[in-house]
Amino acid sequence: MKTKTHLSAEQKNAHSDAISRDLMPRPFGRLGQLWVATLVIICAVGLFFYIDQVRNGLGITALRDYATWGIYIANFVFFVAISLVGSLISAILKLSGARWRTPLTRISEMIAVSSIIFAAIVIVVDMGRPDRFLNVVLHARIQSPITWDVIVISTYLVISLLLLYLPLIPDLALMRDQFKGIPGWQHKLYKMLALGWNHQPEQERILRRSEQILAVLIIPVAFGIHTVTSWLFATTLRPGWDSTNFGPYFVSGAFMVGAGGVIAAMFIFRTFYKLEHYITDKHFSYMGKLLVLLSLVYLYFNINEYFVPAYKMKAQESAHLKELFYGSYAPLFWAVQVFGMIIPLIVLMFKKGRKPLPMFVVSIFVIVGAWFKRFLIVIPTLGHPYIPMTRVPESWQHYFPTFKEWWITAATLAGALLIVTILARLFPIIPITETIEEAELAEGEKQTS
Amino acid sequence: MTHINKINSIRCAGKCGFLWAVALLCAATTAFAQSESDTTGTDTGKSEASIELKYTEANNKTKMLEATVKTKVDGSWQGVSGIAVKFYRDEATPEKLLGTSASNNKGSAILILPEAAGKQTGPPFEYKFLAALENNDRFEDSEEEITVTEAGLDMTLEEEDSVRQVHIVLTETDAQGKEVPVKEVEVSLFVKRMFGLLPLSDHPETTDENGEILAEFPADLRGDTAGNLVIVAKIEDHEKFGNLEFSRKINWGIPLQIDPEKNARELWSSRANAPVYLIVIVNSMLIGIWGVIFYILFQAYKIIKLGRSKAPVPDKI
Repeated sequence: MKTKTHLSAEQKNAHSDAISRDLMPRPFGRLGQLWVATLVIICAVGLFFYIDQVRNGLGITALRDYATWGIYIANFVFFVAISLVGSLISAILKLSGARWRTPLTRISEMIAVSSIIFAAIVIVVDMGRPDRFLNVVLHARIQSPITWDVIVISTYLVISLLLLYLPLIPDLALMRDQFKGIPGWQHKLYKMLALGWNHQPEQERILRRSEQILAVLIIPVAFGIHTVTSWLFATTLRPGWDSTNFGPYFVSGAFMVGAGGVIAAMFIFRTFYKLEHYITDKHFSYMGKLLVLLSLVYLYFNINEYFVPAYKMKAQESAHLKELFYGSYAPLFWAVQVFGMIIPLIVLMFKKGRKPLPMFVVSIFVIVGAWFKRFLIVIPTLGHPYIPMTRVPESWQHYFPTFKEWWITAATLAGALLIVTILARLFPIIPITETIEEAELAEGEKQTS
Repeated sequence: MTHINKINSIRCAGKCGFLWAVALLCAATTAFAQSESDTTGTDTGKSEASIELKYTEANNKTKMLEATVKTKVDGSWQGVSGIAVKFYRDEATPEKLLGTSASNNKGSAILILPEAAGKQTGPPFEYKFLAALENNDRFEDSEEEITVTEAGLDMTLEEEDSVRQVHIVLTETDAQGKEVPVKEVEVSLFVKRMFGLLPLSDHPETTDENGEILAEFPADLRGDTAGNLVIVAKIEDHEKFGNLEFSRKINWGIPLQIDPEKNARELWSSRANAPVYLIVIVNSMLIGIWGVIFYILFQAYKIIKLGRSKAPVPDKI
């Protein structure tokens, strides 16, 4: 009996070591270096054009009296939307007891943190000069949804950082103690961030409790961040925005694109980090089903958002709706609805569609569709003000971003991906300690049964 | 070997799917940027456009030309935006060019006339203006002219025994340069409100043989806080004079009473006057949420303290 226990402990340690080895962060290969270099170049070009914008003003963009919000704001809404994935995986699935979410939590939190950082950056970019952000703080009116948005974004960023960081502490301690052959600064970083963690039961109790509290706290804040973002539009008297449906419409769309973002990241990390044993077909299948549910909810809100105004066809709304349905924005509108929502929905309903590769392709459709959907929410409306503007040049009445705007926007997207890449280089993308604990638990349950 | 092929095919299919999605949406983006047009075509491939030209003079000072460019879309005439319209005095030659203006989304191009263009030194006291659409990529050349006679619309406001009256006088300049009254011209009276003009009567008044109108002004109209009102007299689309307008400000309205207590704290007030309920709700939420965040940070501090005070537990992992 003693021999059996001893062997079991040895096996256990070997198993833990194997998991640790598999999941420890690894240096970039050639492809990884190429990826980082590409992102850095895009960021650098975007930064160059941003400096041009700071020097010469927003005149370098296509923003004018009609379209005062362009792709910067569409991009901002996209970032806020995708950041909601943190609360979906780390909080909603955690509280609902879905144990399969473990390998996905860190990926989702990394996406959430990088997205919300860039949501804040994009707002400053949209202001033209960065110093204008001070005016938002110094002259803030509590009555303004813009002030609420600044408050809720900073709050969500802090909670997301904590939700990424706290579950990372045991892994940081593990890397501090076991990760050999790394540069001194990296070891120091792990040591500092590990907060002196030495696996005491009291430390573990505090950590679990804090994670549980944060999981509860982040849900209303997540709903708040995107609801308030929707109110930036809905509290403005404009065709297409003047809707009581906007809060849930935005939140449901955000969960959908967030899930799409996690699926894409799951596939990429699984393929390039060889994590097939940890991110399995089962995880893709669960995420696929979840995405179907979220897509159906979003489809429901889309029908509400367009059908009811189209049924009434109020004079002010009709020009806007006609432009979307069969006007100049119709190709984009229908492409987004079909490729960004209907096709993913159909593909994911079949078991074969919930395999990693089809799901990756579908998730890209969802993400790209979601970005252009935000474009369609923000821009066409601005072409139809209730009080028409007079004596403006013809070119001001249409909006198509300048190449400098495209580059700056591409740089923010590349920047967000760069943050995720750097985080994945420094920290385990799958929680090591939690995976070991769950593996032991599963083994125990297996033996008991 | 099979495994490598599989990975390669997965990567390839992944890339293809991604490119396909981007290409589709990019194509759609390019397509929506194209502008719409379903207008009546001609032999030259260009569409026909019509121009309506209006002349407006305000307070005998500001003179303005407004050309509305329209084209037939699905059988009905609709304004065309972004069309450059050239305005001329007397004839459409470069020397007589007054200016160029682009049409707005209603199809209207507006030009405020330079002072020199609105003055006639000798008889006849008539002005001929032209609006022309020239060398446009989408539309055939088109031209419209208008001739107006110099006229003077004047308004005086009189109050006698608490009766308030608006006195209008319309004159024109005859061949000898003398100002003579104009009879039987319809003049409408309005009061300026926030979003438009409020007519003072159901039908326009008509000038008598002295070119005059005497209309009683109502005493129950609300003005601004000082009781100020802007009274406007208008002659619209007159075949000889075009559009004439005269406005005058006077404190004949009932002063607007604003209860400072009632309006002090509103959603639209300055930040110092934010509604109390809003301040309470927002701050309560902030204190509640940030209180929890600080509690979590304190818990992190407790983890550090525990790490310092006790020896590590060996072989936990």
